[in-house]
Amino acid sequence: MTTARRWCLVAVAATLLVVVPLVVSARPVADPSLDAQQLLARIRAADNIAYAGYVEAHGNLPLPTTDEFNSVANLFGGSSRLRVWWESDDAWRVDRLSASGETDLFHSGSRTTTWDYERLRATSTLDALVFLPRAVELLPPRLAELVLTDLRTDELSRLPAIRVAGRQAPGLRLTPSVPQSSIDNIDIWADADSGLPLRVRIVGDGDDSPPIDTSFAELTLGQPSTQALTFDPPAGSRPSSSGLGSDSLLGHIPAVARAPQLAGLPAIGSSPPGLFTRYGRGVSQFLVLGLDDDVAGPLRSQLASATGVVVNDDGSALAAGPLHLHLSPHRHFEPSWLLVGTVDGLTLRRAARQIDQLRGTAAGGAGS
Amino acid sequence: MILVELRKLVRRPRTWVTIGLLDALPTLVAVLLAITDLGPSPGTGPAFLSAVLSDGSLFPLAALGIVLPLFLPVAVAVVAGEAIAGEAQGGTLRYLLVRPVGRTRLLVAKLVSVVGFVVLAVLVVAITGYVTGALLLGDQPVATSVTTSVSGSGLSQEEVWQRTGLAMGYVMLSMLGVASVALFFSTLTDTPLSAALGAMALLIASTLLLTLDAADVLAPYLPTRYWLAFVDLFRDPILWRDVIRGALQQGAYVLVFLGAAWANFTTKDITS
Repeated sequence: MTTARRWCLVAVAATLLVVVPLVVSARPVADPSLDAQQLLARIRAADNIAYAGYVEAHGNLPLPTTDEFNSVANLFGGSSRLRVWWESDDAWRVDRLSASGETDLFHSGSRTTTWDYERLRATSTLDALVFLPRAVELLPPRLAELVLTDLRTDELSRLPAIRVAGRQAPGLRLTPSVPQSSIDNIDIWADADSGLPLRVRIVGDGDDSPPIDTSFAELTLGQPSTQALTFDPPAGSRPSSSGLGSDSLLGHIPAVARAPQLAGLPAIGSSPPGLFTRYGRGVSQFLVLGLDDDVAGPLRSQLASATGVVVNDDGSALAAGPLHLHLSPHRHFEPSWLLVGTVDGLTLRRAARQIDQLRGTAAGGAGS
Repeated sequence: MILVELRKLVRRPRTWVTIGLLDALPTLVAVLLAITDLGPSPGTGPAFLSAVLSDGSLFPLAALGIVLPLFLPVAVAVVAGEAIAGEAQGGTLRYLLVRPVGRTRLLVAKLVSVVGFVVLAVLVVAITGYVTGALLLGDQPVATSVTTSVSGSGLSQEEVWQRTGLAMGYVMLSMLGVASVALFFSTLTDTPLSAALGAMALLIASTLLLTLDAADVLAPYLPTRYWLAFVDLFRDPILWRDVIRGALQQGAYVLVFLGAAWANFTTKDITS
């Protein structure tokens, strides 16, 4: 064999090793004849499906980090590898993997146990009414359930099918019609057979890359093993428990005055009373939270040093992809107001001014 | 031929000096941990190092985690880079080939010799890790305690041994790619140092690219991408995904770079 032939042989082997997996993954996918409403119905019918799998989630939201918000900033600001075993809403397990350990959530009934390998710590908590997002919120079925509420039929359209986790996945695009929305569209691809959402991609207005893109890389439908869902704190670990969720932040905040409408968006009242108020519709919403100084102070300091933050007399404003945040300025003996949601910054600023006016009116009424 | 190369490897003092130096760092870490009782903060430090303070039986894995990212591949690159280029530099290559020895056979024998070095190095690091872990670390006697898996479930001693064996096998496998690349460079030059530096440059580039989100599309092809997947063997249930991908990837590197070494070496003019 000549030298040239030998090198050709090596080149062909190298090319095949690179190209074959790409060709296999890029082979065309048949698109089932479903319209957007039929696909939506199929996705909603998949609500009770049990499954196990491996999810890769990519977050691109540059959120400010404070002691209270650090876990959320990590979750939505980087990549996560998740393993999931899902029996039902009452029994599931989600592991967030890292190179040197993992943090697991074991949920049973109304209690969630968090296992942190590198701290050898198991924390059992009763589910709180309000809690910060956790790894489980990045699962495509869970995220799809969250975004596919309070829809209008004209906001939905079909996307061509793609292959996700080796499965045929027809797509659904949600384009919010709320003018103040900061979300351009949300794409959901669901398993053609079961309707289980396999991939969710959220795209903000003017985003070059999706701020959230979460997708199954492996999926097995069917009941996960009981052993995978069971957790007993290991010997030598530091078990602890608390009445409220460890991520619960809002239990101690003062009640907020609730206006029926702010910045042209109506209040939607499904929040626990006195904790926060939601305004908007569907995926285009914002929350108004009252924060005491213990929480607002560090957040304000963090915002002051964060890039892209606008600070003026109205407060501090930050845009992290489609997520906008507005924190009112510090005032003695008054709670601070945090407005956060998927509406544009101008809307939040208008809402913050309206709250100030309402408080001024209420204070004037009380004084007279 | 293979036996000759293996015998040469074992008899050479440089082999044992290299392995000794490889072994020194994890041993020093064990001593420091035992004295200070200070583990790394969560999310920092090599895998399993935070757990060895309470469970010394995991120290062989922590020791492998310490040497795997840098010291072991550097040692493998040096040994493999020296395989052909060292003979050429020493003027012994042409005498080797004067004997009725096929060049392909010589290449395979050199690769087997490098694999022998990897096996020896990993075994010595793991055994020393076990001894230092048992003597210096852990709150409970290793033989009687139940080891906690990364997922929090208990592992019997038998399971720990099995999984540690698998992890050692995987670490050995992970070094095959480095060995093949260095062996290929070794056929290109008469200077062992150049061959070793070439392989190390590839590894450094791979490690750097893995930190860039913009290079995500290249990640599955980078030689260091799956090295730390041996941690997945200690999750419960075992996560085979990256372990299998890592094994296949190393196979592909061996195929391509050993093939390139063969394509180059079999018709190369041997002048020294």
